Amino acid sequence: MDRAQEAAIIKRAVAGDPAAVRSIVTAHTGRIYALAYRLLASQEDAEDVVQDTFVRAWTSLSNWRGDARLSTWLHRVALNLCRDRQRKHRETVMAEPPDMTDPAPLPDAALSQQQTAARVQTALAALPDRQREALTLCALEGYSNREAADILDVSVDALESLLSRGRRGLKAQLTNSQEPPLI
Amino acid sequence: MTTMTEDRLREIIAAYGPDPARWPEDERAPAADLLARSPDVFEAEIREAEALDQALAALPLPDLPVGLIDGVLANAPEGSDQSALSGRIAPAWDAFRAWLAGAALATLSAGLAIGYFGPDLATPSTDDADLVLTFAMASDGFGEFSDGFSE
Repeated sequence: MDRAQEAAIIKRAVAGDPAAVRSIVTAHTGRIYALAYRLLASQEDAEDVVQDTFVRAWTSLSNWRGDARLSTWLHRVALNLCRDRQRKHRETVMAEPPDMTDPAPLPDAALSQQQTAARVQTALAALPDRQREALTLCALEGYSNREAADILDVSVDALESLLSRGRRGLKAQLTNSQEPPLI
Repeated sequence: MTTMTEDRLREIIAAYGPDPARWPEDERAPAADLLARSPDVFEAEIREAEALDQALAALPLPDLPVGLIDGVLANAPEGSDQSALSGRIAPAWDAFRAWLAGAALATLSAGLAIGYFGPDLATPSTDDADLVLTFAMASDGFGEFSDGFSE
């Protein structure tokens, strides 16, 4: 869909055309949900982010100027909502420190898929926000370098730097922990 | 065509991983060509990047929750979503149908009552009219119908 077609659909949606609204929602909900789920690791939070993203869209699209692609704009809104939630979550965690867990390795050397996923998720969460976001967009969700750079509002070179540092950091997390190395 | 160097290919692998499909579009062909010509040179980088991608692949794929799209549509601007609109019309229509059934029952009951108790059908009295009205108003369906439209 080119920009003119996109602008026409947005105009129809703002005018209350149910088909245009449905077209926008079905085209973008899946990818926005996946991004939010990856970043927040919570289905409930990700669903809220999707809802809030579109609520903001409905109030803002009447002033749509078409400076960015709708997809990019929606993803930026979702990303900011995810950052807000992560910030609030961190504040809550800081205010209420969690119980310390035993860091000893699991008795069974063969880690289950679920345990592996939990370790990768923890390692990802330990990365700086921008690196985690860049990795999530490119390595997990398959966005091109240009799409991801647009969403993160950085240059392609800056994105590449975030990705390289993110992968290095992730590797360090997964190999230098007290648990059996994953990679 | 973009010139590809060994150093640049190492940077690409370090940033985007081992899968050429993820590499920058404008550098993909020369990078893949260089890798195909000298696989041994990049073996360590590719192996390391593959291990990391394998770890990332352990993360569960997020399935779209059932009903999320409908939920988003229900919050779309007023009048712009058919399913949300039908959701608002349906209760009023159900109430109207309930009222119709109630009214029909009330009318039938009133007719039977008048036929049984009424001494003179040819000259209806004020009492007969009150009786009909009482039966009609006593129907619960009338109340539901009113609620459905007042919302």
